[in-house]
Amino acid sequence: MTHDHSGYGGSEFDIDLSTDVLVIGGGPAGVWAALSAIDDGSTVVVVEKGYVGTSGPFGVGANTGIYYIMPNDREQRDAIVAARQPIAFGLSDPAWGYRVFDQSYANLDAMAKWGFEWPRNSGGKEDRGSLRGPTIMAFLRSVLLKKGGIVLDHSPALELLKSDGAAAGARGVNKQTGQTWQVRAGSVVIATGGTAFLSGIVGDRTHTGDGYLLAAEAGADFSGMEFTGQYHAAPLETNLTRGAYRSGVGTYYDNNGKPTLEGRQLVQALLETGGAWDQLDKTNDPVTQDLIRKTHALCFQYFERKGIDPFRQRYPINFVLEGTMRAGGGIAIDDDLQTRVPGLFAAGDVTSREKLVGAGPPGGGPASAWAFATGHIAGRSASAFSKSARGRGGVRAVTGAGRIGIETVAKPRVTTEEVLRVVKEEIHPLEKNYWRTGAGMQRSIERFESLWRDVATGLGPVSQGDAKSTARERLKTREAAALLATGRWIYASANERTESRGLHRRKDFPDMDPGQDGQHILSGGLDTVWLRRTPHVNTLTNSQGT
Amino acid sequence: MIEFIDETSCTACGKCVEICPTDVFDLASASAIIAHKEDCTSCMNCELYCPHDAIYVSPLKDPEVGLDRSAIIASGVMGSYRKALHWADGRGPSGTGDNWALQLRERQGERPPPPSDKIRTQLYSVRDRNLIG
Repeated sequence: MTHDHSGYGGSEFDIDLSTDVLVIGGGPAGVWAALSAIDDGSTVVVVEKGYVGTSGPFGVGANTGIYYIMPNDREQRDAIVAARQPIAFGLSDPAWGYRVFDQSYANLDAMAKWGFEWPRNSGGKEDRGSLRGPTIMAFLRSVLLKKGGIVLDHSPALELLKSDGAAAGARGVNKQTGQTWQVRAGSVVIATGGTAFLSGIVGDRTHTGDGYLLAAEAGADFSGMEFTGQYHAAPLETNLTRGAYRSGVGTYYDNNGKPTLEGRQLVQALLETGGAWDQLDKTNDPVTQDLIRKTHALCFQYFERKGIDPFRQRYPINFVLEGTMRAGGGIAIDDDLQTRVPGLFAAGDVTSREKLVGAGPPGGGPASAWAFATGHIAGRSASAFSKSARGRGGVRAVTGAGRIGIETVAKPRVTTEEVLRVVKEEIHPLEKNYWRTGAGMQRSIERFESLWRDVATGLGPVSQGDAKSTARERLKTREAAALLATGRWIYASANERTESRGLHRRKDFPDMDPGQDGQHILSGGLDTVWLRRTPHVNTLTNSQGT
Repeated sequence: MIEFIDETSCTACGKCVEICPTDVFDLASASAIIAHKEDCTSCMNCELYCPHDAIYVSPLKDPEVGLDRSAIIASGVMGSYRKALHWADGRGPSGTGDNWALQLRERQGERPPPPSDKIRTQLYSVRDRNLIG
């Protein structure tokens, strides 16, 4: 089903642009995609739902690690790549590890050449393995603008454009002005990030799975959506699911004061003793404490502004869903970062990161490297596609691929508030999504399917008085639809995988099943969710490590 | 969650409106205003970018009850996060701006992780070979 300009107030767009490569999402992956496409000689437009520089989990000022490997140090190369394999549970491709960590080194090196000053240790040596998001993103934004990239901030994409079966741009709105926009393009990179299903973690408000829905409507599919049961501790009153500040110095306790390990034991402590606590009690050294405070300034705003001394006091914590903002499942991509749809590329957290981390958790270092590296590769691939006969420089006749929540409906069958409520009720709770069960997921799936039938035909933006409110309403509607769609792919995939593996934990199948070794689960579909098992294949033929 | 804008410091320059990823702010004639408080995710970037240290974001995810605005301003906390990240006049430093993470690493020393932790042991074995120069 396609449609033309309806729903945008006639056939005119307030902003109508044509470019070689359109990048949707301006976090690290999107900005690197834009930079590499420009360096390949393409013109680029970046549309960002928030602001290029502050959006998403990376735009938050917590210190984030990034993995890279030195090009000529074989021992280091092999050690860093090999370290990930035991927690990838047979679903990663080691050659992709070399590729990603090599490319992130190249990106960090490019930043140094562009003038970014990396910190040096007391011996004068430079370290590029620790990133402060807002500072990095402000720097990359200025480079992008200097190189001629066009940036549309506050401009969420609401639907993709297609032409002859290939991705050909997108349409959307500006949240601040209410203007409508259309960008026709020779190819498209989706870099919209993962989603925490609005669990409330810092930076999650912009990350509502929009890119999954855009991609699915265009015909893309997903891989590893069951590897999404990712939660993290945060001080109870906050949304700071960050662990680096307590690394090596913190101790978790259950509600009875008994020390407990992180992960499953901590979840057990919360569920069984009714609470959990944290204290940075493994260092008494005031110099160390001061350096922790200064290094992790964002997390310490909580302690300082609320008058808590985390080195001497225990503070209560909760375990909060991070979902695909940290877990590996996402849009299936090939070695060029192309999705199933010709001309549609994806990069960063929105993609399946199984090639790098398999079923396991990416952690900050590999996730940053994945964003930097896949952004770069996707941008280059998209630029090449745009120059090819199929891309034809973005001058083709286009049609909108959006289907769900685009059009105003005469008789709404459901509200966005209702959709969000149901999705949160089924996806947030530890008892449903950290520990999954077949019976529990079956109930969630039935609830989702019934709701989806209403959404598919009876969810649309409600007319608002002014253009700005209308733009916000359009976005809200798409966000709700995207989260429900994503929840469907997650539980369908998780129900299919009758074992526990990595970030997929089942109470009814607590162990890994050797019979399901080396199998990925692909998923997709809007009207009906489909699933397909596919054997793991190492797709990069030459290991770059030797 | 964002709590207040100090109207006496705010010059209505519009920086917070420009950079807020969730469009929490609007611009009134004399100052910025908080128009969509419920959309704030406490990313604190408005504090970082504000050239006048006029914005206070509470570290709590929910609105604070009985917040004492004048006590907060008097405490000197306004602008403290911006200073901690070395930002000035709405701009970041030309690099990381400090080497505290490296100093911390040197101060703590790096003890080898337990051999049972294979990942950290492997990473530990090559830990300083990433340093450049």
